[in-house]
Amino acid sequence: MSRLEVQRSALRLSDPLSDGRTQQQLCELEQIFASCYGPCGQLKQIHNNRGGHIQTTSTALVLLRGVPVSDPLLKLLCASVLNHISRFSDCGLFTSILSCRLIQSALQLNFHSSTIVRIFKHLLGDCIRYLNSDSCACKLKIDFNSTQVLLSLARSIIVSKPACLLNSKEVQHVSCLLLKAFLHTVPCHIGGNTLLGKTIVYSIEGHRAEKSSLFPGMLLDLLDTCPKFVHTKLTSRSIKVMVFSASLSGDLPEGVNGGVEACTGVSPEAVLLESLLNLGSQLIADDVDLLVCQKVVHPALKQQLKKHKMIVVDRLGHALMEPLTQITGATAIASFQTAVPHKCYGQLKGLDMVSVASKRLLHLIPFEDSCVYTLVLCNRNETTLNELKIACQTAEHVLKLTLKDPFALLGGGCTEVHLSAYIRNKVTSEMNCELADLDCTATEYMVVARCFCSSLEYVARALDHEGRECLIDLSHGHKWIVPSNEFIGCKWSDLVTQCACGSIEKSNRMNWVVLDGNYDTFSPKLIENIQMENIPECIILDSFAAKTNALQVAVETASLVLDFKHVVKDVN
Amino acid sequence: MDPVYPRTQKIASDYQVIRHRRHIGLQQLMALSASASTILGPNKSFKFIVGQNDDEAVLACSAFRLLENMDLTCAAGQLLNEAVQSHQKIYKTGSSTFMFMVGAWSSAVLECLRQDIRISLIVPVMSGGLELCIEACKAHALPIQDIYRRISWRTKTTDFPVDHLSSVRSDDFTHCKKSQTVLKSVSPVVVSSKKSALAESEVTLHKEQLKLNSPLSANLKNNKSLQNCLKLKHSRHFSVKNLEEPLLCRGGPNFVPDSMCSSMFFTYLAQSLCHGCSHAIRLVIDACRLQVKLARLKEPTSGALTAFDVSKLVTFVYPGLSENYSCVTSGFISWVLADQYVLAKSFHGQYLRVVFINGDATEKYRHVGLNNTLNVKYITDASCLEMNTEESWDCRTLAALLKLKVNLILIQGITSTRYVETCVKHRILVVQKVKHEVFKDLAEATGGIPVFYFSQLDESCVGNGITVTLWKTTLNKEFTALKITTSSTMLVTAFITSPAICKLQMLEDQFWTCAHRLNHALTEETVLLGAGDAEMFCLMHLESLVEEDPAKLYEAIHKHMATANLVSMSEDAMQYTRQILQLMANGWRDYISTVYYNSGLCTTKLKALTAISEYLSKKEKHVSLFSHFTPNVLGCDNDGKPTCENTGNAEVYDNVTVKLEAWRGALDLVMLVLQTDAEIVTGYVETES
Repeated sequence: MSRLEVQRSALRLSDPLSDGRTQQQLCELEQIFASCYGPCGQLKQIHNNRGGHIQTTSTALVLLRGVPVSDPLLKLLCASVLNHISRFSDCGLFTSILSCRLIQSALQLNFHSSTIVRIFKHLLGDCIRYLNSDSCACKLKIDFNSTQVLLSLARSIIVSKPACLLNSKEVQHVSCLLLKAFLHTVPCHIGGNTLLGKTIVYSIEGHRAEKSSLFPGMLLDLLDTCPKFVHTKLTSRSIKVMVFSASLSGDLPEGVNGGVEACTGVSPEAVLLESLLNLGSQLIADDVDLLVCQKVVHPALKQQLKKHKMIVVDRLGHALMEPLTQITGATAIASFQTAVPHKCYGQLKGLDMVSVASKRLLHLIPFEDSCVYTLVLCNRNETTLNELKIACQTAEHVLKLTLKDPFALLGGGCTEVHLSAYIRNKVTSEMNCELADLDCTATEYMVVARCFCSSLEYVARALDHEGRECLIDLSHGHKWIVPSNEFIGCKWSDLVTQCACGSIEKSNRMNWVVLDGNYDTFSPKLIENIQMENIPECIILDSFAAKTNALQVAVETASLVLDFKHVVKDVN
Repeated sequence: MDPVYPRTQKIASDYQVIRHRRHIGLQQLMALSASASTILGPNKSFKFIVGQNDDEAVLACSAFRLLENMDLTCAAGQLLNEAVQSHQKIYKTGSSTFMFMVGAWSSAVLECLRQDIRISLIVPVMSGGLELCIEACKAHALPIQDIYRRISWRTKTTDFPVDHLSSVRSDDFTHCKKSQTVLKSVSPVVVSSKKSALAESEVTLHKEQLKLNSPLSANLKNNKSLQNCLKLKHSRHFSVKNLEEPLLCRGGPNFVPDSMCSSMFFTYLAQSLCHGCSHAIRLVIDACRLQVKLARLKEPTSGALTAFDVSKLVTFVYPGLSENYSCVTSGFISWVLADQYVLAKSFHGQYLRVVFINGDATEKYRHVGLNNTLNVKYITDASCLEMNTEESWDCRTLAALLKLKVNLILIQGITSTRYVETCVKHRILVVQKVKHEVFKDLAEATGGIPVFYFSQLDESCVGNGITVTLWKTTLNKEFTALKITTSSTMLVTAFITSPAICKLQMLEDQFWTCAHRLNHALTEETVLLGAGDAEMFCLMHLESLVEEDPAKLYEAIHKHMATANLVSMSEDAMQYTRQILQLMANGWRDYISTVYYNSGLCTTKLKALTAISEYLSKKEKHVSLFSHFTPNVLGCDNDGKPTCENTGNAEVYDNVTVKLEAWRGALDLVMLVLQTDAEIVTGYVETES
């Protein structure tokens, strides 16, 4: 008899949030995220205690994937943030900090959790309605006739990852490249089968970020010697391309699972090799110039094709197959044992060997209307390069999202502070109509609303890591930072110059109050003069779609976590 | 005072967060880099790294070998190792500078933190300051054309006066005559009105350095003053034995300053770049001369500089012989099994036909990517049992080779001893484990095509023209060293040997470092003055920026401030900038004093530091640091010569990109570690309360 163990019954934990350990872990997670937030954020090193690879990062994606959490509630929180990141790429840290903060401040209140959850959801609805309305004062409409807003958006995202260690010239260069790549991936002709193009990222370590560049089409790494006959291919006719997704290395086709029976004298390998060489002769007869295979090509086949001046690229990998078929129009063949139909061949405008930052790569030049571009990213060491890759992928995604929602929100914490002022104002002025719907008392409503607003303000203040004073102005509701810590005897108006997002300069009629949650409510007014022409160069922007979804995910996750009554755990 | 220890929080069983009070990461970097301080400069100290458990020891004398062999347990140490290895992979030299500057700047940053300067100011000020210094250094770099002019001018004026002929060997006599005619044709250019730009610069150099007033032509007759010249410029270069090869450039009115194919200049440049590795640089210079010779055979017009190709250099390490036997030779050297000794001897002087096999030469070998999961069942009747597939493979392949009349197989992988024996019986030599670059080069040079399987072989894959020689004597009963070369290859092998086996790796590393330093200098065509000059220049530049041109400084700093609109340059920020740059400059002071201390020019680092401060206060910008640091200044006991093996050069040079990228990489690492405030250690099993 093998070992038998008595099956233990499942554990039921009630009121999981009241557990001290969970609360401590929640607090710890929030500190990790809050200290990484923003362009002045601190970095974290994640590694295994047995040694092994160290990741230095400040991005939510790497942190959430790298930090293992076992508590079920916190696992839920991390999973929902990761889900948001996979759909919108940006504002991951914002979501995590806001939801942790909401949960923690709600736990301090003595009210019933279902009331709190109801009120949170109601306030969230108010926020989203305000953000979507036309009279929203923290929203900017993107004009696709000018690049300024899009460039500022891309630049704000690159700048928010401090581990990239870029100076402002390099930031400008990379943002311009990203914007160019985005504009190129939008197809010019809208036909039946239009797809947004793709930007492939090729990274090279050890060079300055200024050497990054953009190429139309694809860049392939030829691991063998670069064939000398590439330059002869730059003829006036187009390049014929054959794409294989099957393995041409002499393996049996993938469908064959069972054994093979053979008579002696017959070698299955030889038979397979013969069919490969037959394929080779067909390709030569059809005058194909370039053979690309997702997997490995048998060296005998390679030798035969090279003799006839055909370029063979193998080990392409799954990720590059789709853009390749998009550029060339070829159909990927999955079997080498039958004759190849002629309509599966693809076309390229040309081939070239390019030298990029000390590497020689084969450039597949597509026809003019192709939307696939390759962005070559360089940075000085592995850590900075990885962070730059994540930042660029985020920026690319955010720019694509603007096609659906052509708006941008003011960054630097101004939107959060503005929203908070708006909610405070709305709650005090329209209280009576709400109470009936929400089925709660006036005190409850006020207190929970204040908790909601102070969480938003906390997130806005988390951008500053040096304990500097944050102010709110009583006319527009933007966040202002006091640069130095010595302000005894000075008036606020002497110390500040412009708001955190950069859109408002100080004026004589403004008043400021410290942003600590206790200020008289006021109605934040629209900025009359934030026209397209007057947008300052260094304005900081956030993605509209990403941030609104982030707000929703944060509040809904917090509500879900607060609503848990029991956790059932299987301990076998 | 806060405790120095990191505050750890053990709350979860999944991971542990270690928060760094007092920046443990930077302290760890400082501690690790301290071991690099004796590796700087011309006198490198060797280090033994001993394993605690297994008592194995490794000898290291460069930063990357040191870090490679150490067991680094802290995160900062691993980051340092990764950064140093990746710098080494790209530049192949300069890792010791990298490691030292990491330590120096870590201590500078720690001092800033102790003075309560905030991180958001330290990062942009240091980055901005370094960028300005790097730009200034690039502008300050010396083009090697200038060095060439100085050297070629010296050799022309101090060439063979008539008196010297008696001490000259007979074969040099004709050479001397030749160079006298060279001189004769140069002098009218100098004196007459047909001035070329070169002549003018030669004249100015001449006046500056020797302070002789009479024109050159008068001195030709006046041997005494030439002898004075000789005495003033007493160097190995102008001794007789170095002038075996004629000056490869032609002087005279057709003189083209760009044809820098003088081997003497080459030797001079190489020796000033070697930083004390005189043994290695001798091999590199010999290798280069050989490459020039080989290139000449191919193309008669190529010069020394265009022929030097570091990608065609290979090393071969031979334990046991004395270091004096190190030399260079063309082609490559490989170990072969001793039973091929007789066969190899018989092939001496013949041209062999060769095939190139990628991968292994065995029946079972399949190319990479083939997942050989063929589940084959052979159905047979008893009459045709063929059990031994290996033997049949051997027969088939041998038949193919004999048909093609092949004498030599070069294999990148391995093969079985049985196969080697079979081949030897049929008069075919087998060389295994050929390095990839060598393989490719020989295949190209002989016209052969590398294949993976013997079944691919045909007439077009066979290469021709290989010669085989036995190399040195066989000390080892099992293996013999065989030299394989062909006439059209540019491969040059450096044969490195030493009686101390642990030293072999180090000698090989030094060879490569010197070769790459020379290669960088020739590709970039600029060098920096070494021996601390570049660092001193940066110190002075920073000082001048702070005092005279703060606007430029602040502009550079603003470029590195990500949120420039948030932090305005308030008064305290300006004062802090000065402090931060001062502390950053201390890193360079540390470097210079360590280099001078290590080279034996001064007895304590304090003396070097004092000398540096004096130099700075005098602000003699046109005098190089090396010439300023005389024995009086440094207060040392020997007669002003460094205690390392002096190559006789007056100057020491450094590569530009290597040094500047080492500084940049070092500062990047320090900034990354500075901005890290916590370590998250996963895989942690909770046992403590």
